Amino acid sequence: MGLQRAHREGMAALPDRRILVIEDSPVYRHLITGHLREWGFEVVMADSGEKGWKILERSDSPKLALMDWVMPGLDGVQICRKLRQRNPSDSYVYSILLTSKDSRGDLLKALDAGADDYLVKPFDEQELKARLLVGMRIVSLQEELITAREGMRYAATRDSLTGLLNRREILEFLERDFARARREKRPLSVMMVDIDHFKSVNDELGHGAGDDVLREVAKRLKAQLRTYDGLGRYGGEEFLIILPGCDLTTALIRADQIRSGVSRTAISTAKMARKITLSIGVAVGRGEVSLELDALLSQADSALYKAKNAGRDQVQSICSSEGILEVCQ
Amino acid sequence: MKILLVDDSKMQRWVIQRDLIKAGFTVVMAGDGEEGLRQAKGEIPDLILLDMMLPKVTGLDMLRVLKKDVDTQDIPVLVLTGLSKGNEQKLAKEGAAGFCEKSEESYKDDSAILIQAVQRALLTRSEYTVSTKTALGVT
Repeated sequence: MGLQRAHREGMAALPDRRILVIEDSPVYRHLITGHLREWGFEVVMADSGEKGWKILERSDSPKLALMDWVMPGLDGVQICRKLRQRNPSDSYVYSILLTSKDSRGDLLKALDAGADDYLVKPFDEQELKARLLVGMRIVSLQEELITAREGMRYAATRDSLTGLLNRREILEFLERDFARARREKRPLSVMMVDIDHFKSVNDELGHGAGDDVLREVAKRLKAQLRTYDGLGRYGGEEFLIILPGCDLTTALIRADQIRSGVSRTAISTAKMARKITLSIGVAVGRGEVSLELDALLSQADSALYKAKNAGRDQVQSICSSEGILEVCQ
Repeated sequence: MKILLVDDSKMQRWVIQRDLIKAGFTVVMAGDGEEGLRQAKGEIPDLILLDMMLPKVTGLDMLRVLKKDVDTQDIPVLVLTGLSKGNEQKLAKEGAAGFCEKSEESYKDDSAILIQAVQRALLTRSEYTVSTKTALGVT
């Protein structure tokens, strides 16, 4: 391992030691900065509440802030209040108010405004250091919590086997994009995709091989879609693809590309390589025709059924014209 | 086996209906409580899947009517509910055979849980029927 890489990795493991100091008094700025640097903190300085707030609004702002209460313009208590009014998904900033106000009422006012801690000037430097370390501990716990929450949120939207959107998410994607297509009077294509003879893969090669096939098909489907297309595992060996803005002609071409793209080369499983084919049912909701979402899904499903019955490894569609179903292909 | 699905959301009906058909059931559907009661009397399904939040006649009202009517009182009713445990007890007293927990959108999740609940409710019913018949000396 190169020294540089080791250094970088070492750096990444280090906790964020940046601290934002908002203080309008040059004397205190000098005093505080001296201590903080001595203790190994990286100091970001603001000499007014407004400048401090600007820094706090940045996504890469320090997570620890030490601020003076009394300042012209935006004061420390107001900053605390603004911080607590932010979107809870923004990262947490641990704030310590520094002030010469020391009545019980002042303390309560500061905590009520959302300050995490409170230190009376002139402060004892060891006490300041201890309180900053508490703050760093809280901040790192908070970050761990956010990482865990994001991880869980991600897991809740994904199919664990393929990593694609799960049924709930792909249906929600469809509902959202269907509503948008209607508003904007644009077409929206839906494809119901089913792996042909999947049961025989499971029966003959085992469920492990079946899982390999599902993962590889998912990968190949994904590789052929645009970033704003929707792809999810509907259940079992079925996938749902949503193509916003795609009319029937385009959707049929793309469906056939997807079909041939997946079946072109055999899929290797733990046991053996196997050629896998897809049947795809396509349906299109056009902006000007008021087709209900359930009817659109029914059409895609019927088209899939038609593809299966016509011998599999193919694309079929059914589209409606003024409510009357007609075969388009 | 015929199942009556009573739910006012078209999308939810479509998704559940498709899962049930795939699992081998015959499905009849109703979008509100009134239609649900009509279908229950007309079709005499083997099981009713009932959403509690319905327009016109609510799910609870529908359950009460079903349990009072001799034609329908023996049909197991599986309640699709996002309600708390307290309400479940209340619904069980009203005669619900079982529940399928649903958070706001759980019908969009995999169907396995719902299908299992349906099969369990049907099984319980047939065991009940068999044991009653045995007790009555009917074969």
